Amino acid sequence: MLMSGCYSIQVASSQDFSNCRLAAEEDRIPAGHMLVQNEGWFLFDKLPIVCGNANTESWFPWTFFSDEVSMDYVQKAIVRRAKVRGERIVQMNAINHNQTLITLPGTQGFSVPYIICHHKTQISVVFLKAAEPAELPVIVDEVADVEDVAEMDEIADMEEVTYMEVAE
Amino acid sequence: MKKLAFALSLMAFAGCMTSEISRTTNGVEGDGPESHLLTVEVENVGWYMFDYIPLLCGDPQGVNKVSSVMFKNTLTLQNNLDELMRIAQREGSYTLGSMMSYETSESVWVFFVSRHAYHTSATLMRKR
Repeated sequence: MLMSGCYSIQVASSQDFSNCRLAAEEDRIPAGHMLVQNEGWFLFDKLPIVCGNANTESWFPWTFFSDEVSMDYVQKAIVRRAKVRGERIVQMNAINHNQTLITLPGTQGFSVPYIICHHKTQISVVFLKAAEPAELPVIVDEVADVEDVAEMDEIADMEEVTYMEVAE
Repeated sequence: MKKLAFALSLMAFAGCMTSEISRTTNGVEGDGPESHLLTVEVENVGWYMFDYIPLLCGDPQGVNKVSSVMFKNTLTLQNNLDELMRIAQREGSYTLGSMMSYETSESVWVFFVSRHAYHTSATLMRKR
């Protein structure tokens, strides 16, 4: 457990944030700020030993011998949220941090590079709220007179008859 | 003397939430219709045991005051964003640019004691 990787998602939002605007995105309102990160341990810098499980629906928090620290996996949660909520993703920044000089217990402070390595990938984004649907022109129905309603019913009846005749 | 050493070591290990503001834009204009007002970096530091148990974390209510809270995890993106919004409101800026967050961590004896820090930075802008 001490040596394991960890996949974490943090989302922040507030009313003040929603009152802000992002530069060059004047027409959209920020919906939230998200930081997703995953880390894992690798043998010889290439072979994944244990990583955080990017599948958030799984009950098990780790995966073995599968590189889930890659950008594709870390980005999953971001894309999923944007798709579900119809939000736009802007200001996406990614940071990869690899630690190759790890001092293992019993080596008396001496560390050999690239034996056991720790990789960490982080992506932070800002979500913009879905665009409001374009306003449709509102048709205001005037209150029809009783006589008009009767006339409309008559016309409707006539049209039905006409259609029936055509069908026959 | 021992008490002073203890206090100093406690201070050195304490968590702290800080915000740093840079106002030196030197007349460089931003992209689009906004101009740079300032750059902000919010940092919250915490010390953990076994990477999970919070020992000392920065106090969001005491930013830049070397104020810590014990056994409570305050290293959240929400606390950083709230502090950023407080600064934006104080400075009268409602346009953000280049916003990003990341975490740094280092540890002693693998994960026995580890130090984590959450960073959030953004440029605050205003209309020209």
